[in-house]
Amino acid sequence: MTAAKTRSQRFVVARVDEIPPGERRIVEAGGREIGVYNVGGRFYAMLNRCPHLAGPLCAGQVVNAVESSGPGDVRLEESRTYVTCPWHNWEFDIETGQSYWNPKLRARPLPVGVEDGAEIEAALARGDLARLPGPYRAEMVPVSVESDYVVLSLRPTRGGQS
Amino acid sequence: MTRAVTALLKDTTRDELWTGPVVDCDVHATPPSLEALFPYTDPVWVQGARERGWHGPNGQALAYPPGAPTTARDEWRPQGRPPASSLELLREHVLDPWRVDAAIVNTAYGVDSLRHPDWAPALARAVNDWLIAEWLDRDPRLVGSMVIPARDPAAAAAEIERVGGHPRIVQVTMPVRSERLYGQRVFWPVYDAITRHDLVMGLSWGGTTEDAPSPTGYASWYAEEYATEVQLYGAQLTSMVYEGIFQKFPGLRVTMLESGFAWVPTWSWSINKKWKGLRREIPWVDRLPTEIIRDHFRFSIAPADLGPAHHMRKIIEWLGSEDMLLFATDYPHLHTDDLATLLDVMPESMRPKVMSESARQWYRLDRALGTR
Repeated sequence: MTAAKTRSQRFVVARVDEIPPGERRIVEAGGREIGVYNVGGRFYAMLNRCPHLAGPLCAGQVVNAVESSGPGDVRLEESRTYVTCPWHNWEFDIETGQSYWNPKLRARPLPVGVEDGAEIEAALARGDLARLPGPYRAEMVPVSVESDYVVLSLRPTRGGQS
Repeated sequence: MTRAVTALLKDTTRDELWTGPVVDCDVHATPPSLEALFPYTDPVWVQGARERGWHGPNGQALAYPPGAPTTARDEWRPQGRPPASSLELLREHVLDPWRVDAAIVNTAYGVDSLRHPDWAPALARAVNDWLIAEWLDRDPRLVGSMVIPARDPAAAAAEIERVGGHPRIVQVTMPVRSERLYGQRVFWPVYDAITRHDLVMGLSWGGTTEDAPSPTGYASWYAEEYATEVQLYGAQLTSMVYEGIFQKFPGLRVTMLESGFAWVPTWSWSINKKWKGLRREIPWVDRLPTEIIRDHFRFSIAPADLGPAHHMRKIIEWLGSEDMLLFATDYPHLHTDDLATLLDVMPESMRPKVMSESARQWYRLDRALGTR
């Protein structure tokens, strides 16, 4: 690990309009695959690794919670969103990573936000923000002050879980 | 040496097998004939039977062909009348030799095989009144499982209203073969009535449907049909769990009679797994199916249908609960399980539960028998 890599835990992922609402992009950052989601204009990120059997979690469908008080009562709860693993269809809360059926089991959400071009340029200059490394260097995100950018952090929001 | 679970054979004594209290959760009572029910039958149907020369529903003979060795143990076949057709026979064959504290009498008379919308409920009423008058009222050890016209949920609920409040009625027998799976909402009135009367739903072997007796077609032989019916218990259990019956009726308790139980652990694992991935379809199921099964189902141990002892021990362990099994002879049917071995592979703390304590609690027997 180079000093620069260990210092730069934040990455520019995309221009905001490149991941429109309902879309998801899987990126590689800090040597790990991460799914970056736009759900109704809010961005979420999740390690592309299911805590059950290490399946490609972010390749699965994104769905809302289905609520019920008993048979015959079925409601879509759009305020809660799950990422489902394509291997076994288990649901993981996109915000907390918590498995629906086994609260002890957590996928790993990561902090992601939107920053404007000026902030990004300053951070890049300071060296505390990295462009996406890896095999897609040619597609490296160009930064301009006119746009907003999706910025991913690899510092987990919750401690101790990988 | 193998000792049979369902009979006290000549060389076996009750105390050799078990010295503690015994509750037999499945003994059968068979009306000796349709005529025997006439004193309890509305006259319009008495005359109707005579006019038509009708001698009773055929369901029981289909489920238990009279000559099949499994239908009755040899020493339990009386001369000139059907097995299990009188209280005196039951006393001689089970109640006295086993010194039971209590026995639950099931009268699956094949009521569901009579398709008539008025006569079937009338037949159920006759069977239940006969059961109360000729069995329950005559022996303080007996509690009863009432029959219903199971094809007609409204009529079934009405019969539970009529007789389900009788202090010695503890269960409602429903045939495991049905045209609709029992988790479906059309049965809610039945479960509403069962739970309001604090009764148990007892699923018993048999039943006549418009469909094939197996889930996928007609078996060629009785042996095949007899062996594969366990699938129907699995289908009914899955339906009741997945359809949310136990969220709708949290007090509903179900006993699987004559179902065996060796299949329960692996079946439960399977429906757990399917629930984890497909539960969005059935969002009312808010916990693991195994937990629901442990809370809401019990299984009689006749038949046990278990393999060698070291495998039996594993299956008992896999049940994950000491509370799920209930002792039964399934009198007069023939089973050849070995009770001594079955008790031996259980943890010691589990044995009294199986032999009496679980049934006492499940069927609220202290309340039912306190009225003797």
